[in-house]
Amino acid sequence: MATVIQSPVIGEDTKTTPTVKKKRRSWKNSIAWLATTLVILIIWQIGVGLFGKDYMATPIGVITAVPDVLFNDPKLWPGVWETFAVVFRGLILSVVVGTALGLIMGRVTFVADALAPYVNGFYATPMIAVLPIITLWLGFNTSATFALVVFAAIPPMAVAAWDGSRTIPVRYLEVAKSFGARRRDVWVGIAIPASLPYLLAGFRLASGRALSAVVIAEFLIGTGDGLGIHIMRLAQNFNHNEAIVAIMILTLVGLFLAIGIERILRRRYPWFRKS
Amino acid sequence: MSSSTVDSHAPTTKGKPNPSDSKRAQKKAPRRIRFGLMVGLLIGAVIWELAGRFYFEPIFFKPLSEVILALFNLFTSPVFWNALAESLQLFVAGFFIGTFLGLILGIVIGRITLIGSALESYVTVLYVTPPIAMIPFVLSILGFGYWPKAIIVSWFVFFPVCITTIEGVRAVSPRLLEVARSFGSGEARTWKDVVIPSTLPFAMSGIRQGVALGFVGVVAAEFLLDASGIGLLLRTYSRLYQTDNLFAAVIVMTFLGLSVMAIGRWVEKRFATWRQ
Repeated sequence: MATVIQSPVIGEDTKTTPTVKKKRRSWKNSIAWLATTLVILIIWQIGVGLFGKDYMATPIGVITAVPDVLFNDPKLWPGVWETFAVVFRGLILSVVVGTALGLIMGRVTFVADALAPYVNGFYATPMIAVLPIITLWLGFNTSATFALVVFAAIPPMAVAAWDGSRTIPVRYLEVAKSFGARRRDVWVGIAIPASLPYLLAGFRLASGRALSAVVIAEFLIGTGDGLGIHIMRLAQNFNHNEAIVAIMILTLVGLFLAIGIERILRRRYPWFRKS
Repeated sequence: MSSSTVDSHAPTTKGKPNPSDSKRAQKKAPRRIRFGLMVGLLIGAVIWELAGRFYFEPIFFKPLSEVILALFNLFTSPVFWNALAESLQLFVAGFFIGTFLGLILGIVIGRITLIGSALESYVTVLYVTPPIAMIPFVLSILGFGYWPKAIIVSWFVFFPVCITTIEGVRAVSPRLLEVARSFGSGEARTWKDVVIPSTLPFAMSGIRQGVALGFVGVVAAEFLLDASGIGLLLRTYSRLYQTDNLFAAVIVMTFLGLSVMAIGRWVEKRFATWRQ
């Protein structure tokens, strides 16, 4: 969505980023990066060799486990598929419901007052504490996982949309009005672009929480073949190298969501500062 | 998706105090009476009571009145207070370890740019990995006991503190650093007088997040590792199908979470007054 909407009012002077300085230093940085990485890996490898137990993960062990896990593990890809299907379905539902809730809360103060204790309360309750109730209602299965993802992801979306729809600069609205903009133009041209950075920031929080939620739910529910369960089983059977490879998949998705959105925010909305 | 809610409305900030108004103006405005809040809570309470009384099986859902009763019983039982004390102790230990390490590593990464860029990328990678995923490793390496749990809690706290501290150190005004250097200030003195004071406000927002996440970490650790404290309480109630107690315990968690967040916000405000 963000790539489509060009905000005519706000996003005008965004494309001036100082890249010159960065480029000059980059080769030095990448050497330092490599060196530090090597040092970390060597310390890790030797440290485990000297003080650790023989099942603990080492860099060499992890690297050798990569092809094994990615290509020879029959349970990995179905697990990945199952887990992320739940995450993405949950996120889609949460984005729709959370954004709608937040926008209504931003519009109508009465609704905001009425819903605020619930949104804040659900936001503040640790997901793990709610899981026993969810499993009590839905049983120990995927729908409980889905419910926990939604529970985790709706509050940040709602709060973000709420914040976003409250902080539209009045000046823009006044200008639009005095130039005779129709209500639809105001929404498409100002309100949505203005609250998009908030929504994106909210989505970043929501996706992080959704990933956590799915792992928690799978760990505690203990059935099914999701990625979380797979990690748990690998780790408990002392296959730490393989477990780390599986976690890396989780991390990659997390990184993709977090950094991808950060990029969009930085590039399109440099005036938007998070928190 | 939002157009239906959106179309039917005129400009946003009408009739509401502009958020960019000065603090003075906000203070002067009389406190709005929040009818919506009362109505919302009342409706919620009524639905909860009626649903529990007439709709759900009692094993799945208890009406509000019974949950409040259970809450009273909880507050009068020493079991609850002991559990709370145990959890609090774990929280404090994990929080201080995590904050301490996060601040130190954050300052080092932010200040020593050459190593920093490499370390920072790893911190970021670990930050986006759900910390819960670390629990099986901790369990199989360290087993049960107190310290594995404290490590998990500090893992939860460490990353937000570290990352905001890095940002804070990077945001130190170069002019201040130059002035300090040109007046012959050593590195230690520069840290004390320039780097740390201007980093602290940033670190505070990390610490605020750390407080909230640390609370989550306590519950996770107590639930998934050696069961103790509030986590044990929750687990017991859910296994025994004491639904009223379970709900009461979750409500306690909600209020703990809210107060932990409020404390974090207070701390941030208290120490971050000089942040723009």
